[in-house]
Amino acid sequence: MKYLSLIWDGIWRKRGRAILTGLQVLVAFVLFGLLQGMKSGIDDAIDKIGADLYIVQHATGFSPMPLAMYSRLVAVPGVRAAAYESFLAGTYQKPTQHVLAVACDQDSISATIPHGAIVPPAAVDAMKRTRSGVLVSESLARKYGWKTGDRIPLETSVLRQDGSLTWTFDMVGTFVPGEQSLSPDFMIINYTSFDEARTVDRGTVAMYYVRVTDPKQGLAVAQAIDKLFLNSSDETRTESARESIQATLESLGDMDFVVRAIVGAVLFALLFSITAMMMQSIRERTAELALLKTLGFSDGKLFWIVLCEVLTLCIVAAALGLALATWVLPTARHFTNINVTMPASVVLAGLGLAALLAVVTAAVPARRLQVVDALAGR
Amino acid sequence: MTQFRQIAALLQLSLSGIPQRLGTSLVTVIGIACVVGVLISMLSMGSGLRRIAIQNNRADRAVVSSKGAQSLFASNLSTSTLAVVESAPGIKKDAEGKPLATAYVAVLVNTRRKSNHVRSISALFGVTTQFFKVYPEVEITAGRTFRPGLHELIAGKKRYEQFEGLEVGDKIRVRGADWTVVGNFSANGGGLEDLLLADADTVASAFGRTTMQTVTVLLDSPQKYDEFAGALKANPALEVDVKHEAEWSATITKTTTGILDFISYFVGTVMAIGASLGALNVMYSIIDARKREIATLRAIGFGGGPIVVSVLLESVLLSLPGALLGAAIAWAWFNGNTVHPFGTSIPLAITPALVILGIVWALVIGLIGGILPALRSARVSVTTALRAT
Amino acid sequence: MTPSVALVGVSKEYLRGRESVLVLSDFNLEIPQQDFVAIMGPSGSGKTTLLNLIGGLDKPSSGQIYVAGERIDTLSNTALAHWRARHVGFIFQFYNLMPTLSAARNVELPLLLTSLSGRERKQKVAVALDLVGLTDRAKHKPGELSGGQQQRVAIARALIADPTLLVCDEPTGDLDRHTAEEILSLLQILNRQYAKTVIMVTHDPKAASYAARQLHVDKGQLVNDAVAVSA
Repeated sequence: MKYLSLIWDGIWRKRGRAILTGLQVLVAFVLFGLLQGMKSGIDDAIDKIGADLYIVQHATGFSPMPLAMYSRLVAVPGVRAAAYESFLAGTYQKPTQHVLAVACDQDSISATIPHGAIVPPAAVDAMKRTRSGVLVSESLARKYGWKTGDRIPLETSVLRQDGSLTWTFDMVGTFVPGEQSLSPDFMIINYTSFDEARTVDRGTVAMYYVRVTDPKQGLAVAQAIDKLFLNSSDETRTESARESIQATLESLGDMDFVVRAIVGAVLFALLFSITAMMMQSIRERTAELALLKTLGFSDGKLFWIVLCEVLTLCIVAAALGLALATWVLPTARHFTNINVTMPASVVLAGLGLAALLAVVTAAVPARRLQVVDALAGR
Repeated sequence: MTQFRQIAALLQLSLSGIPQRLGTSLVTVIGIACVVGVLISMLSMGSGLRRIAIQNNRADRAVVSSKGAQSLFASNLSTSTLAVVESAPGIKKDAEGKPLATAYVAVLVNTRRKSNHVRSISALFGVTTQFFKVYPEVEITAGRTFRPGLHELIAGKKRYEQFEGLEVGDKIRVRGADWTVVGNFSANGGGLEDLLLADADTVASAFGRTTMQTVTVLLDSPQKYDEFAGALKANPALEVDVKHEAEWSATITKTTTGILDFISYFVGTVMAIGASLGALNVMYSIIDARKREIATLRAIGFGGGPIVVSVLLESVLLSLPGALLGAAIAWAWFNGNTVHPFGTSIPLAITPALVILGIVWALVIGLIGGILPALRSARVSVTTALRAT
Repeated sequence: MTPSVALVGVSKEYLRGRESVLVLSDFNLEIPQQDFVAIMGPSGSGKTTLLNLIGGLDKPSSGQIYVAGERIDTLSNTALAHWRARHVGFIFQFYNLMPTLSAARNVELPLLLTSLSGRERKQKVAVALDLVGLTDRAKHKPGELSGGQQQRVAIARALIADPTLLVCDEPTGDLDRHTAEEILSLLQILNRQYAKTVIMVTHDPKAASYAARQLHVDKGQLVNDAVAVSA
């Protein structure tokens, strides 16, 4: 564009001011990127969970269900595959180092893959051969420096037949949890040996996973499952995996409101700041702008030039801020144990906001432009 | 002493120019108001949680947990351990000579939040018979207390207010059976109000539990603590931690308050950086505009030092109205509201301590935003600024 | 009698971009006490630089500067500021008054650097304003005063600390003929009746004629030293 030099000159007129304002925008959008990215990232992660995955739990919650239900579940029309899990929560070496072990049957898990875990067939075989075997997710193995062949003891609150609360496993391999897994750090143990060794809740599982053949029929299949066990002592509640995770995350509370409030406050303050900067810039350039008018530049053209200045500054600074946020966001997994990557939608929304910000801040000084008269000195 | 007079005169001079610079001054005020408002509001969550945790703590109550446990669910005590604890010295006895010690088993049940009907978890504590004597602040406000051996429970204030189906007479399903809510209770605003309570044995058998989580004892007096703790620690067969109630409260809320505070300070710091940049921008432009003024003052004989100090003070003073505005907004919007991060209910209070913290942050921002421009003002080349044309 | 101002072998060079420009070279000058001297010359000749050096606003690259027998080129910046407050009064082309202060408060500014009490300062301000004939405008802000009135306030400010030296940089450059004559007459009175040494930079020959002596500067050198017959 031929006005590029004018626009460029306008931005860099006062170098310090341009840099400071740019930095402000950058910082604001780092914050926006992190907060909104976190929120949308979690939403996206939930969306990635297949619509055909359903979770079957005891209706009154947190009660184990009999393993015997498994064969009846698989027989329900519309169910493609099913798997079951029990959980063993414990600590490794220090009371602060929590580890979660998921006890399951290797074959049915592979068929259903509720965690989207990519487990090499060799590892599955190794697990089947070693009753006390454990597969550790790559990031967890890295965290504690575990290698295949290590013996890993877990301190738990689940009593074993031999009277101890300590469960020891032999590491036979690693796996990479798929995108569908919200949590990247956990380990897999064999259900059969786990169940045999414990004293409570024997013959039961904590939850069932079901893959339906047609997601559109999912609700109908879920209802069919629940109807099957109605009025027994093991009533079920079947809901889609997505709904279930959302309920768990609900405990994160009013995060939505908080995020919006913070972002709103930051952008509001930024609005004022940039507007003030632009107004000062225009005040200083009254003579120049008057000259442009005498040369034949219309009000509209002048507004356009001013707008482009603010727009360039805002969008470039916002883009840098969002880039920084994108780079930093994945480190959040250390605090929340959730795989989050910056959704593209947040970046686009951020840039859009930056553009909107620019337009609004340019509008105010633009009114002054119309009053600019071609008189020198004043 | 003319130094002070110089600074005072310079300050008065620059402050008298504010009406003309209303726009830029407003920018600083609003920028700082936003930072302080957000920071104070978020910090009130952490401080609210801490307040609840220690609300009802007493110096004569002690908590025994399993060694190294940092949270309720990580602590497990066997019945034999419980018996040993109850026979330890220093525990107050009731009229029948029984020790005032109560243990509980903690389980989770499903409830539904009133505001959005989303399924949410509540904690149910199965408590032993001496519970109400160890925690006299617990008062039944409706209905009656539960009877041992029956599927009955009572709901605390924060629970029945925020969650469905916890009024007297309601039933909730727990482990395949209907449990009846026979009463509601309050506990002087403490953390106990966030719980459901029932009989320990009934809960334990329903959930197949063989261990209890922690034991709380009421001591004869606060001075008996050392005797009590000493006896338990000296016992080689026990693997327990003994803490003052206040210590234990701090331990179990540490993670949550830690997270809340971390997020508050993280966001607050990022916003403060933004506000500092804004203040810097404003102050630089002020100095720029007043180059000629500053040069004239230097020509007249005002020293570089007093000029620097007056610019710095101006920046710091400008940040005060912003801080007060931010605190006022935080107070108006959040004081008295309840938020629910991580499953707990926290009533927010904008305390004077928080306001002061907010003001200090604002002053620091004013300082940061003022130092560089202040130093720049000293380096204004007098001769170039005073050039005739 | 010791001269009011003495410059010995003074040179001054500036950095303009990457080049070093020599504005004054090996300048020698003596200005006796109670002199009224006009310094003239084309733009870029170095006359403003000369004024800045004499007034202690700048330091020479080499050479010595004495004012009232005291050597000022070796003073530290802080000491120079103190010195200026006591010995020099400045009058500028564009007045350089504080727009947010009243005339009285503008005049009072230099006194804030002294240890006089509030009452004493008020008295001196009244005297100064009376001298320049602006007692009834004491409470007005510069925006409410005409150019000539503003310059008179500036003169009052320059006088208030009773300096020996009055340094003026194009004092009538922004005023109309009639007002300019008033200001220049005032300067003459200050020089003849109040024993002030006045050093004035101007490009206007008519203004220069009010002075007792004219100096011409060109390319950083003194050209000639004419003694004008005062009007």
